[in-house]
Amino acid sequence: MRRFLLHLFAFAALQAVVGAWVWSRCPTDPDHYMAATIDKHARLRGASRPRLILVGGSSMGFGLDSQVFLDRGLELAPVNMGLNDGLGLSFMLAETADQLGVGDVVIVAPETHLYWHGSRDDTLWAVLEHRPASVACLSGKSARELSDQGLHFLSRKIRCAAHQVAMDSVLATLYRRGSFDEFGDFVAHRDQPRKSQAPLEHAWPAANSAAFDEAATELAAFATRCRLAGARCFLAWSPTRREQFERGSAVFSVLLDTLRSVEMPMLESPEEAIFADTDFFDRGPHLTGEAATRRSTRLAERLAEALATPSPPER
Amino acid sequence: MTFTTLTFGLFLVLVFALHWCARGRVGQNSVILVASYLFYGWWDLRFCALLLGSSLLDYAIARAIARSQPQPALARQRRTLVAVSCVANLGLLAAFKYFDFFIDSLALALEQVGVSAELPSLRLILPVGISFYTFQTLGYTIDVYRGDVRASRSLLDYLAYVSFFPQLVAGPIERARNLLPQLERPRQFDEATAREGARQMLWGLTKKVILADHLGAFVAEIYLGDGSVHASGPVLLIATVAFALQIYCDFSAYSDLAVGTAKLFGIRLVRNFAYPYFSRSVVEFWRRWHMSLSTWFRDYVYVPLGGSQCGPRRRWLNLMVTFTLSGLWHGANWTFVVWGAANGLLVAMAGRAGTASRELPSTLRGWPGFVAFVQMLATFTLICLTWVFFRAVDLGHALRILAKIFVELPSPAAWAQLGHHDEFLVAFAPLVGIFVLVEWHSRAAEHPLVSLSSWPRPGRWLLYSAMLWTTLYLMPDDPHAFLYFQF
Repeated sequence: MRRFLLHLFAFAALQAVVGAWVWSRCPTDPDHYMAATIDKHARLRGASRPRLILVGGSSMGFGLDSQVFLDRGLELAPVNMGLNDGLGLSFMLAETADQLGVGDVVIVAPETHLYWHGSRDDTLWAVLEHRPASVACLSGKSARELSDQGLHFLSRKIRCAAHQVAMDSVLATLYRRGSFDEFGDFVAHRDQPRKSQAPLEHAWPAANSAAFDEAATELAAFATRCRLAGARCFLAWSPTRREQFERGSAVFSVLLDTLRSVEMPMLESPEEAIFADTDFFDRGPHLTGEAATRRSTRLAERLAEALATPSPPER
Repeated sequence: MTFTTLTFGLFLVLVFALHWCARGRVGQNSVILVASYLFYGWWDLRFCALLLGSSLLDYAIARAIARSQPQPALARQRRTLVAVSCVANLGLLAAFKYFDFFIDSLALALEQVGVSAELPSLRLILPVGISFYTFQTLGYTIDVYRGDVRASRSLLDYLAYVSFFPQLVAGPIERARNLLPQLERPRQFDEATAREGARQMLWGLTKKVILADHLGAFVAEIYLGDGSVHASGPVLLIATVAFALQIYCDFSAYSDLAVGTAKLFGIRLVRNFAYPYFSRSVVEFWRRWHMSLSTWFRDYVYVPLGGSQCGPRRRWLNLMVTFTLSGLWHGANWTFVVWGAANGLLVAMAGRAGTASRELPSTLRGWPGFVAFVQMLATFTLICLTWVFFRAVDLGHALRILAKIFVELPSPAAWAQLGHHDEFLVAFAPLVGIFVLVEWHSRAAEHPLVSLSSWPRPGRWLLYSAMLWTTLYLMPDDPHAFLYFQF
């Protein structure tokens, strides 16, 4: 046993040396897209109260124009927390749950697949690499997902190191921290021509409410946190292409029924979140600047109407 | 918990340490039991209750059978008990896996004769590995009934046998006579076995990530999930060959990881794959492919039906029933039923042609001769054709693919479409070629890395490191679960 362990440790140490070299070739990039989480959290803590907190993935980051909400005179300081759908719903909700205060308004609009799919790729690691304090946002579920994603994060680091060794150049991309504005909206694409790319596809689950129970439970818990903090929380839908909506219409129908049991009023119906292909900037659920303004205007109107009615009394 | 995650790596280190620190059989099996339920509960804690319920039922039934064993007057009671086990285990499978399938099929059939019926459906989530552990517990009860194994007295040993985490969710399906005795005594650490296990795990990991996952991505691109067929015949043919390799690399990788992990705990699991694509007949293929399932069906379905100890017609029928059920075991879809039946037909025909043999044929030495090569190629081609049914979304999809393959094969324009996939083909054709050569070279051993034990340590470590880092480098962003998890 001793000999086996000795050899095992020696082999592991050898791999650790290789790993350290790989890491040194691909250091943390301060302008990385995921590094925008630092600015978003800083704004979440620093913005004047009450705030309008927008929770979702990149569809929220790309697809809303916070200025529209300001112009509507809602007197709420917008904080767009939308960054990446790979973080999963649990993590997104946990990022804001502890920060809610009296008078805050929250719009939660996760990408539709987050109702049945957890965190993906190595996104949680990428966020923690840039903002280690976000470890506090890990629920039991997202901690499990973080652990499952470890090798994929390492894999990405190796590919990054290989790229650096081979090219020694930074990859030119629009998707960077500097592309977000002061509210946390992604704005760099707004004056760019849209890309004609095939849409990103997510497999639809069986139209079975059991698949959405976990997400509904998480949202219900978040709704309770909102109420206890004196905040008001609403649900909205992630922008969807018409063709995708039609293919998933049975799922949307069951999902809608499931979410009605959650004490979070809906600002719009799933049908209202349907957009034409030309309204999307790239293959993701990312609206163009013009479509984002349209969506924001509609949501701001609905929000103003909803806020005009008093919140339901606490049970 | 999946083998190809950091979670499993950390879990394995912890369980390995605890297992070898634990004192005696009870300590070691307690560690295995807790670890196995944690491993299984990682997917969904509710699944653990199902696993425990199924295990306890068969434990109690086996004990009751054992108590009545010496008394011939209680033979009927024993038959009843084993029937209860069959009904309970197969009922569990039927409820979770097949109920909605048969209801949907019935509704469709009624619809086609003009009757619209609102039939009840369960829409249950399929617990991972249910097909594997129900067969394991059922096999145990039948073995106790037959007197082939004695009923375990220790509940701890028995629960550890059913839930042993390396093989819990995708096999090999272990027989009590192999695994239970190993759990009924304390294990001593054996360095050679542990090293062998670690090597086998590395081989499995490499095969899964580098080949299975990337081949799978290509196959998914061609075998569209909506049942449409856009690719040309030759592209579909290449995708079918890619799927044949994908499913082999995926499932045999899982078995390598399972067998390798078990070896770290001083436990030897049965071999599940023996280079099936080098088979010279379909019969031989089925002796080399998913051996733990094939032998399960042989012992608990084919032989009780009369096996080959009856007339040729009855033998045909027995083969067809066995293979069709085996197909259905793989999934609740008519494609699997047809896949199983097609293989049954091929095996029956091979038997009639006299190419069937009872034993695993000896491994060819050196390079294959012309006849052996043609036999291997013909067997591989036949198996590939049946894989079309296995991979297709539905029967119509499978038939459209087969039709397109046969119709467009002579068309040069159809072959030109392969050019759209040249990036994949250029990258993976040489890799697959190397893989086949490595497997051929090492076909006498359980896996190719066995022969490395004679290499000097620096050479071995260099190769292991290269395999490890290449595997990590090529790990896809969107990790693919092992294919057999869905069964």
